[in-house]
Amino acid sequence: MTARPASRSRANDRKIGRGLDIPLGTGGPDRFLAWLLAPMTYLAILAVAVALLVGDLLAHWDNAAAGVISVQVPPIGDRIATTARVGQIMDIIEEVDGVASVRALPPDETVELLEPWLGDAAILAELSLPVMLDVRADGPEAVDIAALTATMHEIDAEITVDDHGIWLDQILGAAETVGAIALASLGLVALAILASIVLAARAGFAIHRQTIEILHLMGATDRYIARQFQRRMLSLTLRGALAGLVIAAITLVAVHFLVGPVRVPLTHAPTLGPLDWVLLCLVVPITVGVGWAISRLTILAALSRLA
Amino acid sequence: MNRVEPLIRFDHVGLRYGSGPEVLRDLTFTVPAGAFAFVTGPSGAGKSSLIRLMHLSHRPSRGLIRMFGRDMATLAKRDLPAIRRRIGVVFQDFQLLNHLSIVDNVALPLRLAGVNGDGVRSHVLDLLRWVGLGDRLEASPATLSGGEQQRVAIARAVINRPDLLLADEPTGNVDDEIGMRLMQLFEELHKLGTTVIVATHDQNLIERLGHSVMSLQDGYLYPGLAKAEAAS
Repeated sequence: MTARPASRSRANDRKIGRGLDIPLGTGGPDRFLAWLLAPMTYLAILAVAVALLVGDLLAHWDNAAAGVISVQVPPIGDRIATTARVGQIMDIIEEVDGVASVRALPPDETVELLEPWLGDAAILAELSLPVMLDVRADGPEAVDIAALTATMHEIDAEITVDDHGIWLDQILGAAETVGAIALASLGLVALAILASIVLAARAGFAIHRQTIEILHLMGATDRYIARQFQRRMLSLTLRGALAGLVIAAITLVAVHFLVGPVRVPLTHAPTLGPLDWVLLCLVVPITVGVGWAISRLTILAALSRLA
Repeated sequence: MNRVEPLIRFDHVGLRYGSGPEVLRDLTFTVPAGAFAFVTGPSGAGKSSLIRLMHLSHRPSRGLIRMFGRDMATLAKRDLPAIRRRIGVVFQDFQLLNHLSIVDNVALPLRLAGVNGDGVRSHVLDLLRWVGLGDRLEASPATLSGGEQQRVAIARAVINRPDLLLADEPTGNVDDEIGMRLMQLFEELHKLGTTVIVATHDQNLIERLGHSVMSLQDGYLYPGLAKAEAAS
């Protein structure tokens, strides 16, 4: 054959074979995959966010409450007598093994603490409130609480010693449950994502089986055919996951602005730090990577059953 | 004695589809490398089934097939694509990909073989002009007539100069002039060393070209009618 002058058709100007040899995305159900993946990725990101927030909360509560002991000294007689008694009790507590420091909360600080529960600060200031001692131990179990309680009761049976253990255990337990539920939800969503990708790949294979068989007969390797599906899945999962990330980010920012102003005394307001946001964003490449790998495995398995 | 192994060797090969009757029975023959042979016989004789066995889309129900010096029964699945890329096939029903343009259909074997570059494009365009489709380059095969589709199928089969060219009724849908032009293309490939096997019931074509003939009837190969190296 002799070379002839090239015609001025469009075929001369474009690169041959830039598209997919398998018409994925035409007539198949896989085009709905991006729509399915967007809400699934959204839920996955929210589940990760909840787990991270609970983790932050637990860490702060643990740090804040570990080694903190509250001692309530009921008032006796007038303010001078009470102050003298508080000074005596503080001296005794400072001598206890494992105690790092003792501080008596000023009356206005005590009022501030009680205000959310008991109401108007002006009225509270008129009341004869117990004096709160903030005792800091060297560590979570550095102080023998039973011995300290017994010592205090020798002075006055009305003195209460609280190491926050009981309520902290309950709150930590509840928070851990919420965190576990979030992680379990993440697992379920991940399974749903996997199932969607497998089903979409299988459906695409079934729909385009004839084309795949022609390619096979012409010498296409299994990897060549699988790559066509992987390219398609890459595009679909990326679109779906990015949409999910954007919606999740809007949701989290909205929640931050809606819930942020609500202050709950004695609690830490959990927040997502820069590293947390990086982790949330990682859901997108993980979803895309899993989609890429799972579609490859699914198609290779289907091809292995062809002649 | 130094014996050159034939390109294709069938040894007591039989083929049945599912649990149906045997459509090919006890075929034993060899085709040397560089041969040009016709497979002929009436409709239903098994011509297309024989072509299918040779382009490895089916495995025989019994018997042994050796091609390119390899035993097809023991060939690993991963080695099949490389063997298939050495075979050009013109399917009776063309098997063109309607979502691709004619250019992309013809370029497909080169792409599958990993051949890229500007040479591919000019090579494809030259061949399409040669088969008379230079003005339909971007058309979808679905918009072509049967004869035009057949020419695209032939161009696709020969684009990468296969070692073995199999054609199932390649001139069935084209007029005599185009038919002879396509056979001229096959002859050129044959001269370049390609082994060509054409299944046809067109006796005029067989007589005009005068190559070896394997005659099939009711699934049996009749060596008495064949000039090919057919063993009883």
